[in-house]
Amino acid sequence: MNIDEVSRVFKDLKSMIEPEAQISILSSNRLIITTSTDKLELIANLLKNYGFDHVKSVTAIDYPMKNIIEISYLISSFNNLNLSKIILTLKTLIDRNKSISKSLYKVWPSVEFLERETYDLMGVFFEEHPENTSLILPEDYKDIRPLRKDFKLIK
Amino acid sequence: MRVKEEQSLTGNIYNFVRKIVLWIIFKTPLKRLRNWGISYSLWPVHLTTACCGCEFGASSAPRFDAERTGYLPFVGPRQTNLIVIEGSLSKKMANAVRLTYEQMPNPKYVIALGACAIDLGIFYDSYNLVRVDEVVPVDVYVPGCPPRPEAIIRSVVMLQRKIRRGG
Amino acid sequence: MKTSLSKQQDNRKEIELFIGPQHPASGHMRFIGRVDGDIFTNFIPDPGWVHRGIEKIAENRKWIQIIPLVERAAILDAANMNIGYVIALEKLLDIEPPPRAQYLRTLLCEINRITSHLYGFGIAGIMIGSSTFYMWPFADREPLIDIAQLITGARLTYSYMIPGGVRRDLPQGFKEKALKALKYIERRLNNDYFRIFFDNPVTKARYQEVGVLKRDDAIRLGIVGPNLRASNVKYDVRKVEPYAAYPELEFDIAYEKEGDCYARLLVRVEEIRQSIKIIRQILDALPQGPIIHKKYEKLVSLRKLEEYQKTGIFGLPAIFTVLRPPAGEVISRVEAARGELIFHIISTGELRPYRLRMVTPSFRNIVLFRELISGARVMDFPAIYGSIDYFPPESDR
Ligand code: SF4
Repeated sequence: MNIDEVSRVFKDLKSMIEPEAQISILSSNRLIITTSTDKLELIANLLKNYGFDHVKSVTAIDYPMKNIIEISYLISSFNNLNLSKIILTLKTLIDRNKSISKSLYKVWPSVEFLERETYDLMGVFFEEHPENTSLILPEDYKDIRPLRKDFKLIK
Repeated sequence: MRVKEEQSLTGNIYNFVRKIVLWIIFKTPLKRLRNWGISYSLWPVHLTTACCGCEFGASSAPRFDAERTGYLPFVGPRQTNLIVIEGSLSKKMANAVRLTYEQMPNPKYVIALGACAIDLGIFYDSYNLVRVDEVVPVDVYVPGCPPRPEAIIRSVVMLQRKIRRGG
Repeated sequence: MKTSLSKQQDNRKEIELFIGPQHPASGHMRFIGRVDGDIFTNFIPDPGWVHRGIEKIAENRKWIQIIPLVERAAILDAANMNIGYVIALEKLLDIEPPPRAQYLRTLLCEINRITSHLYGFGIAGIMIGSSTFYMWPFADREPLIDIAQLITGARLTYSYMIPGGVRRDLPQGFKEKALKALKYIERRLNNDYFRIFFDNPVTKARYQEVGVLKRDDAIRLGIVGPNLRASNVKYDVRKVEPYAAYPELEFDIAYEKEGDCYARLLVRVEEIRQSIKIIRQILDALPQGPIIHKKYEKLVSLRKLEEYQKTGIFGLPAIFTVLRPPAGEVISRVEAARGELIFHIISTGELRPYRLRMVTPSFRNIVLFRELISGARVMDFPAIYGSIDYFPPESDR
């Protein structure tokens, strides 16, 4: 994909989502949108209408020093071959102690298992998710969630 | 009185015969025959635990053909006497392995494949794995990550030798 | 007493059915289904039986040690797991491997794609009770594993790609052996497999119009790989975002329109054909030159360099143990055998990654079990499971 098209999409998105969210460029065809948790669903709906039709990954990153957890949805498209060349990261920061975020299940059903896994391994609770139960770890798992930074691997 | 005596007599004979039969079976010549029989009918239960299962599958396929050693993967634990642990055992899976092992009739044997089964291998610091020897007693370990199919067949042959020796 | 029992039975028309984790399919997976008569009313996959925590362990390993680690997610598809991670790492380090290395990488990836699909066929065959079609693909994997072994020295776990290039050059006489293996597999695929399995009325009866996934549903659920392409979505990372040597190679995206189990198998057949085509092109057009980036070639000891020039085997330079990619965030995607593989890596400029996120194709396809099997008959379960080509260790990581 040539640079022109990325910059065209970039401009489109910029005019669409500002001022609720900020958009920036990570590398040649990776874009990043940062927003707050309460605007998340709004932005997601806008992006869906623009043509981004599925979520590739839900990545949660723990920053204990800053006391936040960063949740990134990697979004792209199957239908629109121009958009499928871009991977868009929709980022939001949540409070690490509360660890509650809003589920995007209503917008993109493809997040279902990804969010469930994030709940299981990182302990982020997604509101309005149809099933916030353990997926991978044993059902009676009680410890700190393994992907948190204060969970140490010692053997 | 007479009836009672007869009864006790038959009872005695029954017990007596039973004892003799057991004594003969576990005496060298017949025990050997029995062990020889067991060693050529090792039937592993189909319980795949991790990625070494790929090579386990390849070992039963035509190029290596483990079946020629009298070893045939089976479905239900009730009809099998060998359990092959294929690599790492997660905590969830360990329960299942234990359950399966307990359902198998005696005598039963365990082969553990892969570095993960020995000391967790590449995942030595994982939070969700257990060692196989904490779950079931292991007869033969096969090193490798994954072990080659030849090694898997060799482990079966070694187990057969062990059984024939009286293991 | 009697009446109450029969009453109980009346009330409970549905029963719960637990399948696995000890079961005749590929194991390490449990399903909880609710059955009404012969029909699944609800079907819940329960993964996690092979969870080993690769994402967490990766935070505890040096960058170079992660190469063998990510392979263990799917050892029968090791090269594709490998290339995904190495591409991400190279983006962080900002180096580009030389063209010969790119071609060699592609070669191994395509060999791996074929072996992986054949493995899937074998499992699908045994699931619907065709033991011939378990034996044949497993046996036909072996010639290809042999040529992969010629390149890398290992049957399944290659760790062939390193940042900046590959570990070994091709051995002498490789091309003839590879062409022979390809010819063999092509003959088997196009004649024998169709005769005994794909054109077999029994197979068609069990696969056709079973487990239909519509195009919109596939997109909505975010399915990947051959399962997506069988539903008439022409999405292939090798075309959308070409990596390694794919931009210079000619191939088509395999796809089908029906979206049923049979279509999913046919897509894999077509992909094997395309892979054979790609490998032939690579063998013909393999460029000469170094197999490792100049920057690293200078760093190895003289003895190792001599060995490299003589035998084509590159000993890793010591600098790899203290590799520190600059801080940053990188997302890579590649087309593994089962679909799109994503690596999302956060580096803080340390010896170890801060966070490594690995989204494997099987994990994204789990949802298919619920969508396709709910509403299907009990005996369609093995057919659908086999056609999805799900590999549990890959999904659980
Ligand atoms: S020993 Fe290697 S191949 Fe076997 S289960 Fe462990 S990691 Fe997988």
